[in-house]
Amino acid sequence: MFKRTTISNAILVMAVTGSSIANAETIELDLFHRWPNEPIRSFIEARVEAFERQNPNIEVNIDQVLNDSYKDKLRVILGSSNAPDVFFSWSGEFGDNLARNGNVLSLESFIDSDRNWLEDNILLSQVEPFRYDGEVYGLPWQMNGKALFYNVDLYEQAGLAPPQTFDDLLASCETFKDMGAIPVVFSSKEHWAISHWVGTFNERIVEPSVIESDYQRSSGRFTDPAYVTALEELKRMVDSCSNQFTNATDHSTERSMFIAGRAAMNYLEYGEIRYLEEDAGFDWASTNFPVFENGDGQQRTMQGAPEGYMVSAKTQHPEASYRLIKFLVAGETAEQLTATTGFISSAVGAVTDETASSSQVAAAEQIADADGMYLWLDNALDIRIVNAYMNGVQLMLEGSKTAEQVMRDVQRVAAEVRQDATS
Amino acid sequence: MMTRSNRYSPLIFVVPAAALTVVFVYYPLILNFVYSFYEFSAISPGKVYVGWENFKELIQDEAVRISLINNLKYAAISVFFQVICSFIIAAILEDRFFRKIAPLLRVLYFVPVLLSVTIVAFVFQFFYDPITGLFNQILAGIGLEHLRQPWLGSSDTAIYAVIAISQWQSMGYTALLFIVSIQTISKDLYEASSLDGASKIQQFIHVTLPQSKEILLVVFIVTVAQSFTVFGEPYILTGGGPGYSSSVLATYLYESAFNQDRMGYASAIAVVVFAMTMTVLAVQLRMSKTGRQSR
Amino acid sequence: MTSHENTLARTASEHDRSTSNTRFKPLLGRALSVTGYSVSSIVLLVYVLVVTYPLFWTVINSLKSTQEIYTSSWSLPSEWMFSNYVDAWNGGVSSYFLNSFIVSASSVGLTVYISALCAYGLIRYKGPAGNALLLFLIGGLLVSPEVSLVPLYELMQVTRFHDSYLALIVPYVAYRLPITILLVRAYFLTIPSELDEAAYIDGYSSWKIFHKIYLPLSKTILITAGVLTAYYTWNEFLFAIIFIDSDSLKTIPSGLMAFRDALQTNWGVLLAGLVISAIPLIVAFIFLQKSFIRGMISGSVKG
Repeated sequence: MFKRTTISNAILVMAVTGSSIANAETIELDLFHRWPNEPIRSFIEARVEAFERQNPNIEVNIDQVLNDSYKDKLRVILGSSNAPDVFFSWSGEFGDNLARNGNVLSLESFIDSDRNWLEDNILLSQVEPFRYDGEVYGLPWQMNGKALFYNVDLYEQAGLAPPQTFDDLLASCETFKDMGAIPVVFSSKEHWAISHWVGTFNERIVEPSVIESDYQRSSGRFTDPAYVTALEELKRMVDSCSNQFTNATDHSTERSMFIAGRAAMNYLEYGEIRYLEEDAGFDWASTNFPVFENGDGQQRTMQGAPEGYMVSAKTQHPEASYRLIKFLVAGETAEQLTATTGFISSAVGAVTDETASSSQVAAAEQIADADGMYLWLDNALDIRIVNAYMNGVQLMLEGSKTAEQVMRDVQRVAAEVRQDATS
Repeated sequence: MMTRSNRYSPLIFVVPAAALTVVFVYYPLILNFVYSFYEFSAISPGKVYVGWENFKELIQDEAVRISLINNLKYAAISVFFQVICSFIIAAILEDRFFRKIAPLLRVLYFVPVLLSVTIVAFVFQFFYDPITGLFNQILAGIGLEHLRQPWLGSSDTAIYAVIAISQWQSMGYTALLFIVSIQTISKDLYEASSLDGASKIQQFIHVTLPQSKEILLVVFIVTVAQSFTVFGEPYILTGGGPGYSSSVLATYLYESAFNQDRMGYASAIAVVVFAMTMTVLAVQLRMSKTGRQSR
Repeated sequence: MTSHENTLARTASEHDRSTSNTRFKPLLGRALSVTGYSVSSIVLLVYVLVVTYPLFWTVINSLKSTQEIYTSSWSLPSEWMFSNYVDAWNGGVSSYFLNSFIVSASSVGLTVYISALCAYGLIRYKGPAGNALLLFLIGGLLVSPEVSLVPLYELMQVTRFHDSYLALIVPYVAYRLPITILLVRAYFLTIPSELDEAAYIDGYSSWKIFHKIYLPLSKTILITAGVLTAYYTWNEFLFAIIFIDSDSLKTIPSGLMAFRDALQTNWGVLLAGLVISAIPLIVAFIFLQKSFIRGMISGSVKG
């Protein structure tokens, strides 16, 4: 906003010339996050109010946009004249890209003098994914992972055990269909939702060294035939185990069908546990995605990554911004986070029997038990590759493209990205 | 009395309008041509000159090809509904037989025109829902279950489902234009032709149609031009998907600029949009000129 | 049937024919026109249903709970949830509404005033290149905003208009000027120049002539132009989603998108929000039908 910016410019001058922030007049910070929906929106509002009470000289303006739009909006807004001071970010390529373009402030200098606080408060394993080019650019406020949730009641009725392997999963489909249930509920309307599936199938089926090289912008080729196999396996599963009309179904509808008891399995984020706890009228449990016995990839890893907050390189109040981030990722905010929003806090000792439900504690354990985490595919890859990949998968699922054709499109775009990355 | 300064002084009243037009209409238009030869991003400073690269890529880009074809489909279907069907409806409404009910119908038909594209798109999203939506429920209700479709989620139907909504929204607008134009046709022409024993259909062909040539051309041009700049409907309903199957030039332009952050490439797509609308206008200019000569 | 009755029937039918101006029409033609009218009536009726049913459905479902929309969206509400409207209004629609109002009112006022000024200058200007100037000013009609999106976006950043009301008002005014100038100028030309001269002799400045004579005399066309501008700004979508980021500044078309995301699956409230957003223009149309129609017609004759 025109007026506000001029005023804050004036304040900046005072802040810089004054000896400490505390002496300056009111500082205004803009916070941008991705949850316009409740209860998270209100939770953040409440925590920010608490922050303002603690820091009477700081005033925080909050703004929010949902998921896919958030990604578009943030990319653009950071380059604009009104970049927010503090903003939500995923770790991985999404955050790396912002750092690479010089839009994010490195937090190294703050962390250096704050080492003890960091070690006492935040799980260091969750800070690592926020490192780009050796420097930490963000702090995590939640860890998240994707797991296969299953309807325990339906499994008992069917007399089956939860799937250990992908073949188990496929074999169980007929049984569930005969019972009138959807074996694996699936949606492919939104790119991000498909990318989680493709990411998992790639991880299990493609050799780790190949993935390592292909997921880099400068060396991505996607020529390994295992990528085609991964897509074919995905299509096989959707064709024989999933609901109709997946391209017209969005993720919230998909989850609603599982919650309504109409599906045996649903691939969800741990952050979605709260929806199940609120509305599911049956017993449910979760497990890491089954292994592919013939796959060349990693079988015990879990998809997911910490999510957290970063400071804009353009901020005029780096110190105040860092203080706000600290407030959002640790302390009381972290203690309340899991119970209020269902997100699994990444703060030390924040997820316990007192602060979280048993399934959330179990989720934290499952994350810890995994052989490591791999990034959400839509955050791991360049946005242009994601678009080509997921557009292709939509067409493959409805039968108008083959897996080979999809991968050929991906290879073509990857070549362009490679060229951009190396030039 | 009139001095030189007096002669030019009225120009001062033109200045605000001229300034706004120059800065916010012409300058960006020209700049867009310049930008189409550069590669740049909104988040990192600096523009790189790439010559004709963007245009070369554009020609080979399958998404551009699909988008352009979708714009053409948009234009063809819109002309059928918003020009031909609307005109017939307008002619029927203007028949004396319907004069009592016509004013009410005119208002009803016009209501969709008043709605924001967001409202219309959201409502039809409910209707298109594959499981709970009206269309599939009707099909199931009359025993045609096998015809049920994921209307917005299939690359065979998505673009048509989107186009259909625009027809629903805009037919009332063009019908109104036709009605007003038909009202200006002299009653004597109808009297004369009915004395000659012409039926209603013959009157329509021999009186209404030729007398409405000009408005038909105008509406035709406006409809086609709008089909090349359509954005809101596909953006909200499908985001161009599945794949690029319902993408149009404007949504692809938006995606290139604000999702993929390729501002130069987006400018090149904008040049294509500009070329398409200019072609349509050139056609109009030609047709209205020859129309005048023949009279 | 007696011959008498026969004659009676014949005269009656002759009478019919003569009143409908088809004295010489053969019987076949008459039959055709009966079918013609039935077909026409059916066409009109079907079109009425196609147009009104979605509107009716929206209003009815805006009064239901989400659960009921899912299970029985084709029947009347079992419980009329007027609270949906309160929730929608308090849940953000009031703010979008206010923003749309501010943006539309400012755009209308500025567009009409600046256009009238310009039109006045144009008709009084007797110097060289008057026609070229006119063409230059209304040439903007040919430019669709999509084409200049990227540079305009940058311009909004540079001017710091981005994410403020000005980011919408200024481009709206700029893009609505050409058609409005065209409209108003055509009307000004019909005002007799003697009026001007008389006022001039009375010592009126041209500034005063514009405000005291031209503006009051042109009320009708100014209202028409205003209605046309309001119609455009109230529903404008492209600039609204790109030039505004803050939820608190969004207008209805873009705000409803955010509203839907925030509600997730609270359909009843969403539909209530849609109904509320649609009301102002529908009401305006009912009260200002003539200006609306006149505006729409002159607005269509572009290029």
